[in-house]
Amino acid sequence: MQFMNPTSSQREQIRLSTLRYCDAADQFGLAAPLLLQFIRSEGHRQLNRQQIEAEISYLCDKGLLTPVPKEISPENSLWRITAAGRDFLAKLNPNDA
Amino acid sequence: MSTTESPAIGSLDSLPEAQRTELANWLFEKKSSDLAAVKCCLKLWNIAVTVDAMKDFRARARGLWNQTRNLQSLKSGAATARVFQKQITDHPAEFFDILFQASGQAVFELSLNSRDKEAIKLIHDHLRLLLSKRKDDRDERRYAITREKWEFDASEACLKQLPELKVISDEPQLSFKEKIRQIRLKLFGSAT
Repeated sequence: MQFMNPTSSQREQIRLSTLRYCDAADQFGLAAPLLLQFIRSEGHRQLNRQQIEAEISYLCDKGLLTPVPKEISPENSLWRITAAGRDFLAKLNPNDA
Repeated sequence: MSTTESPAIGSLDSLPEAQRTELANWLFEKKSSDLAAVKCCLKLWNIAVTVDAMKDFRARARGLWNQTRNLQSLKSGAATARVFQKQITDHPAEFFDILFQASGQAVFELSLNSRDKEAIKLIHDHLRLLLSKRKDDRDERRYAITREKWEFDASEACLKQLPELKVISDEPQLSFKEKIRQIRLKLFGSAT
């Protein structure tokens, strides 16, 4: 099945959702497969692992997400929101603070 | 709103936030059909919409509904994890009890929120684990009582045979190992 690339607005939605989920998971962080499952449940059904990882990398490059240091199985990366990521969400939804 | 007025032909998107949330609740939480939701809109709010409009609303509302649910579940999971982490840090010796309590809570919540086969299997598994843990707890109490009784009996036997034990202890020809063997023979009748 040929997968269509998300539009820029869909991509923005995916990035925002990723940040919100990581914010909800607090310091514990979330793995890419779980994030993928959550975001697919929002309607982005054709999103694949590579694409969510690309969006995670984008958010990391922006300083909004960071990997959680793990002693055991570091290859199964977890991602948590940074202070900059929280500030970004707070600016987006000032009433939630 | 009076039900004697003729129904407003409206778009569901123009509904206030609270009504849209209630409508999403009918569709996703109560799993109402599109037709049933259309009837509810007419009956409760006097708004006439087509089944197709309801279908369209369902498709668009599902993403937000799922996101809200996912976020709630993550927040509650993170809150439990924080409590769990603090308990483990404060009481490391009670690790197993705390872990058991946390897994029991997770299964309980699952049993409230889900009725699928996998959830029921998990509940059964945890119930089995609970029964087995109760048996372990009973065994542990029994062992503690047995040990207490044994310690009492051993102390009593030592006291009764103290002079003979002292003779063995003071015997310079015997090695430490041999003294222990003879004391065990004296107290318990065997040294195997």
